Amino acid sequence: MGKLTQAMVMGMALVAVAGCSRNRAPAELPPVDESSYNTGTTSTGGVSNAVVPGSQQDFVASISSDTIYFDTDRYNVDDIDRAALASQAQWLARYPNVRITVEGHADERGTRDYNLALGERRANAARNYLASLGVDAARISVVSFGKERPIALGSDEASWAQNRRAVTVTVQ
Amino acid sequence: MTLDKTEATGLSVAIAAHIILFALLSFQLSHPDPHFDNPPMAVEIIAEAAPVATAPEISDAPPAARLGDPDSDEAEVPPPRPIVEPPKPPKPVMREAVRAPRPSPGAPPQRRVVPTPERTPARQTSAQQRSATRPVRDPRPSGALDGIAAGVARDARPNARSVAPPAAQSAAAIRADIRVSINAEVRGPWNGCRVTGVDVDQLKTTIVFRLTEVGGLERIASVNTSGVNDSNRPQVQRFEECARRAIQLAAPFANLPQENYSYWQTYTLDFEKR
Amino acid sequence: MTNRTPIAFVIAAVLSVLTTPLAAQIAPVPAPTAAQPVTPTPPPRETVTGDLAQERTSVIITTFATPAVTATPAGTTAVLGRQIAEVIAADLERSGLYAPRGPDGLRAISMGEVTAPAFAGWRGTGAESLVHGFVRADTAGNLTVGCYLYDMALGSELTRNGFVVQPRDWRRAAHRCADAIYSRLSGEAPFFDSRIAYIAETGPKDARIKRLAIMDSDGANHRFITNGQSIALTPRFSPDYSRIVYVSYAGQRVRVYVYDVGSGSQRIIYESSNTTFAPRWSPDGRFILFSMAAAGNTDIYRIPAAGGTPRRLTDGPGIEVGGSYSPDGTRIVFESDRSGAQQIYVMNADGSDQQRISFGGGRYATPEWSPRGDLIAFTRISGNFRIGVMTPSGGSERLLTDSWQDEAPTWAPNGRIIQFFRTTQGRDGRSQIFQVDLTGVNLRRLPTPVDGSDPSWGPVLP
Repeated sequence: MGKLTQAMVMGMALVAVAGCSRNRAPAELPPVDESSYNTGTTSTGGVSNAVVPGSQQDFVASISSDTIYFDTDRYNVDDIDRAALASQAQWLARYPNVRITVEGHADERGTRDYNLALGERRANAARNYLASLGVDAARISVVSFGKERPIALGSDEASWAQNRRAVTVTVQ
Repeated sequence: MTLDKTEATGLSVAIAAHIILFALLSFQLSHPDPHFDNPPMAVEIIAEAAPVATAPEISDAPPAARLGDPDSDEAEVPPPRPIVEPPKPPKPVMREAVRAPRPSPGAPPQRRVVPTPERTPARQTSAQQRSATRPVRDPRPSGALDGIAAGVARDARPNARSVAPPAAQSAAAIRADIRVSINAEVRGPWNGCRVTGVDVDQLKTTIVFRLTEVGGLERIASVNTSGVNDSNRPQVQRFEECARRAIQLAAPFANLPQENYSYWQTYTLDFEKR
Repeated sequence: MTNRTPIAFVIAAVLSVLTTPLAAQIAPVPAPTAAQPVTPTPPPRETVTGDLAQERTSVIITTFATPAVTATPAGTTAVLGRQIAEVIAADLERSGLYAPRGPDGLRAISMGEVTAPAFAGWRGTGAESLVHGFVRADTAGNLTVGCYLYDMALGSELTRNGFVVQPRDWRRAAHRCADAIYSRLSGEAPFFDSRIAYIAETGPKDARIKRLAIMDSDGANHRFITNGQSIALTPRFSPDYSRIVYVSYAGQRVRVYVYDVGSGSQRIIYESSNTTFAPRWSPDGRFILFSMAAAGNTDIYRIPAAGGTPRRLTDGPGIEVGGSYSPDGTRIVFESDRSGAQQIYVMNADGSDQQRISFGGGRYATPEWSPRGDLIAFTRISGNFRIGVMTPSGGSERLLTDSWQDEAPTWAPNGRIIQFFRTTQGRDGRSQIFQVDLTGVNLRRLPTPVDGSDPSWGPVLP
């Protein structure tokens, strides 16, 4: 699946989810900042075909991969990951005002809290490597989704491998 | 080795007795009495219930066992499979069985030898007699007095009594007799009082109680529980209550031998759930 | 047993014949007869062994009587009398220990029978226990619910309780009555009158909507707290039920919030750029444990529930997460992967004296200290996830469930029942809340309006 398609699908799914949520909003909504947070792109959502330089679309189109993958219960960055992160760093060097969030994910075979910690580790591994390539660490935030947002839905090795990941998204 | 006259006579009698016994057993196995056609499981449980290894010969006296149970009961015996608990043994059976006159020449040698394979059919037979006299089990105990029998099976151990010398055997027989009269009655309500929880199987409540001459409960003298730990402590009170209640509901006890009142006047029961 | 053959008897007979010379010498001794009174020597002491795996105790529960049918905001006392009996029956049924009968199909009782049951009539049911009761409305608008438990065989009263409640709280009176019955018959502490916080789940696996919700222990009075715009995770009721601590993705961050049930307001427990998660209350409600990830390293912290400065309790390169106080508040059990994989450790409440207690195969996670203090529940991971318990020193491990993924045990207030969530695998995988008792039986699903996860059982209501 192409990265663009992937991002578009994700974006549309989230739009759908957001709409769904709104329908269900009860009266006792806690008075917090409930600003909708989307996993992945929030900007274009696959609506526009025009690629704006410095945008999420531009980012995804310009780099070798926005996602790096990990082995079971591991968070080390291997050679393939380094290449992907290096291409991200190059793009980020062109747009020094763009901030990014690295999302860490785990597969479903860990317990919830542990997977949050594991996702955090993975996101940080990516963040640290980007920082080592000269990206200002202050531009990079991390968030862990643990096992809450799988990208592959199966309960099999192939799906789990896709879900053990860190995804870089631009903050618009 | 030479045999003197006494020995020779003894040997002949013993051989003759064994042959008869063997014949009887073989006959029984090959022509099972339909009344005794119980499943193996029941046999096994009840086997232990026979508190005394009363030697095979007793097995040949089934009619006494019925003791007034209507014959029609036998027709009601359900299909053998689903036995979970042993059926209620009519206590008098045990009593009669234990006291049945022994063919004296044959019996002692057998006891001494303890031929286990022989005992098994013996117990089986008496067990079959007993179980045959009652429906195997009510689908649901109706009231606390049902299913009383259940317990005898488990607590009675086939033990050294069976090889004890004749004098002690009689004492053992009496003991066993009394035990059946009391335990069998108590086990029903004990089983009907459910206590569950972690490590409840480690609890043992010991109750000493005194009986009147006619078998009524005079008083409960003491209640003590061992095996208590942090996990089962909350159940101790209920466990003791169920044990006490079982005696209260089981009393008065029938068929206790008056002549041995001094023996059973004060009785101790250990209650456990396994 | 089934293949007994005469051969055995042949052998036995031969054996006995061979030994006859010895035995024959004894043969002439006359056998004693029963006519000779013999007093057995050791005083009588016997063992009565009952069966642990008993059928459930049968309990008759009649519609509660009312002295005068009175209208209340929750319905007439006559209607309430039936509904209360129904709730009690459902509670006892759900405990797995009892087989309740009624109130359907049973005759109504008079007020007089409440304290003087017609045992003779009810004994025909074969039940061991009998529950009667009454509902009365007073002039102040309160309900008085009387609840009586009888031993059918003995014909004796085992316990009686009275509860005065607002009509709208009639279910609580029923739960209290069920608790009284349960406690009296089981010896265990009560638990029906309690509430559960959990995460309600809807939507597809990759975009699941997860909302904080609360309900009574029987699933009644269900209420959603959050609207699902942000993922909510791992709620815990405060010991007094006034607050719920949980994790929310609100504001594009993972942070621990304290939600005030009364006012509906909430606040972030600790303002930081770091991720905070896995919150737990101290038994006295004064502190909250939480985990915080700083630069990828997760440790456990403690913070005053009213806010303040967190104190770090663990300090290592591994993932230290979760944490659950012993009921006396002196110890904390938590999980750490410092050994290379998740294992369970205990430490003093100040973080000192950390000791590993899990040593079985696989990984151990989500330890939860029983409110009774005697056991620690956990998720054991070796391929599948299973719920188990062990002592605080790590002994006597027992696994209670066996499914693909059973995760995150939470204790009933009496420490005898464990809830958890069970997830099924595959694209259509979903999570539902289950409970099992400590003996590993009575596994049953707790009905919820939608799917659920992360259950958290609160204490018995004050």
